[in-house]
Amino acid sequence: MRIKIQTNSLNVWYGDSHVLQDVKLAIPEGRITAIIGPSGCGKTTLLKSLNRMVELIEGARVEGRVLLDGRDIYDSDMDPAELRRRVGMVFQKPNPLPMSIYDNVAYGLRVRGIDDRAILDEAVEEALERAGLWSEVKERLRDSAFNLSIGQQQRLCIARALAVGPDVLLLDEPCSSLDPISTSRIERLLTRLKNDLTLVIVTHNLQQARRIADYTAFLYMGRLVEMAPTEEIFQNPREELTRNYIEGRFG
Amino acid sequence: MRGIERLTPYITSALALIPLAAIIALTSLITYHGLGALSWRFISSSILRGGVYEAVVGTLLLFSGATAIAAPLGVLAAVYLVEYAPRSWLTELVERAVENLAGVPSILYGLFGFTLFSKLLGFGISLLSGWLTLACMMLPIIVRSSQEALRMVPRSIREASLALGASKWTTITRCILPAAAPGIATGVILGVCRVAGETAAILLTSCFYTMRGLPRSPLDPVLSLTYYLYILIVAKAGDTPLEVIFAISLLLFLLVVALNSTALILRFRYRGVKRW
Repeated sequence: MRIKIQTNSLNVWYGDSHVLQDVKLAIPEGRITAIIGPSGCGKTTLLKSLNRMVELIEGARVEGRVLLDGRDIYDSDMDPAELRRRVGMVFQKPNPLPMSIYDNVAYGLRVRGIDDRAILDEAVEEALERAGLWSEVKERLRDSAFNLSIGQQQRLCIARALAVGPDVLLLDEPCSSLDPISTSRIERLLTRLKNDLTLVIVTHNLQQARRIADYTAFLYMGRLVEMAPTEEIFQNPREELTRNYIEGRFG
Repeated sequence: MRGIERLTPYITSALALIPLAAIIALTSLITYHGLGALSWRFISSSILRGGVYEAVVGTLLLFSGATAIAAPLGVLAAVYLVEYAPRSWLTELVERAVENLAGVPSILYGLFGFTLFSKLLGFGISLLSGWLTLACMMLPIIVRSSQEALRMVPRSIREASLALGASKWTTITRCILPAAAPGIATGVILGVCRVAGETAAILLTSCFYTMRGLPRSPLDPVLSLTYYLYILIVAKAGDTPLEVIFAISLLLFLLVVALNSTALILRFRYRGVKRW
């Protein structure tokens, strides 16, 4: 099994607070890795350090290394925009851009200078198809993205991220604002996507991690407690802390 | 105490009616006296033949030129302040300065424009000096309302765009400015409202009563409705029929009301459309 992303002694501070401490994490290629842990333990920060979105937070400081295919993404010659095309991101709350469905999906390609209508049409259809949204929106691609249901908006956000052709997709609690039916659609979608993508999902929902993740990492107060195949974490964790969390003794 | 409690709604609603009453009184007074003399002929014939053509064109020239200068500058300044400038005492100072500039009396702008543009830079009493002076007056309003409009664009939109590999500038031009456009446009129109009815600032920088015809270049002086009205009232008191004065007032009033309504309609129409 190949490692897609490797973090080495990753530390992140927001001002004076040390939110990630010495995180060493290996994310396998073509699998779903879940990051679990109680609120405020640094899950989202860890996720955002993998595509440098963390740098947009005021006062954030990052130390250590994050290797993507062996190359440090914090190197000075790494272009954050180029990096984010390879490592896409889906946010907790669906955040369509204030434009049409079509334009949302085409956005990432257009900002790279691709304006050819035929190429865009094809890429938009393919991305929506992969996100399982094409049949629902193909008649109304020109409608505002805000007219979609929340669940559809989140799949649109996934389609939009896929259109750029990333190798890795980071998902920050993508189902936390969705109803159970939309949630299970997205879970099935993610399971399909791992055939050609590496997925990292932050989730509050332990059952969700158990259902879809191949590997699970448990994060507590800014430290990585352990990471193992999901079944192992849930049935036979090495650490007492992990067991207590899984069994719901704190959260 | 109970009595005051019971009277409060009546007192407050009576107070709320005062501005409404004032507006109705003003409108009816101007309309009553001015409507008779206001006609297309009046608007389109030269001052020499008892019309106001040069003043109408001058007014339009003055505020459209000033807008063309102030709008891009103001929007870019707001983009810098909101999107680029790190929070520091300096940006804080700039913002306070902008706020205070919006309240400076216009005669001071006139004096400033006269000193800097007319004299120091040698543009004289001209359309150009007027443009620059009025642009200075509009800038604070445009900067402030653009800042507000930009700040209203939620963080999630910036994140969405950046996460798709867009650069910061692309994010600003393709997502943030279009999303903030209705708010920015409203601010620009409010800026125009401030200068469309302006007298003091152009009195000192761009108008000569002896000006005849239209300016042939930006370095020529110009006439405006406000200035012409001022002259008719102050300098030629008694010579001009009252209804002509009120007709000009009505014209000016309609112009400002039209601009204000456009701003209101813009704000209203887009309030419902944009959801994040």
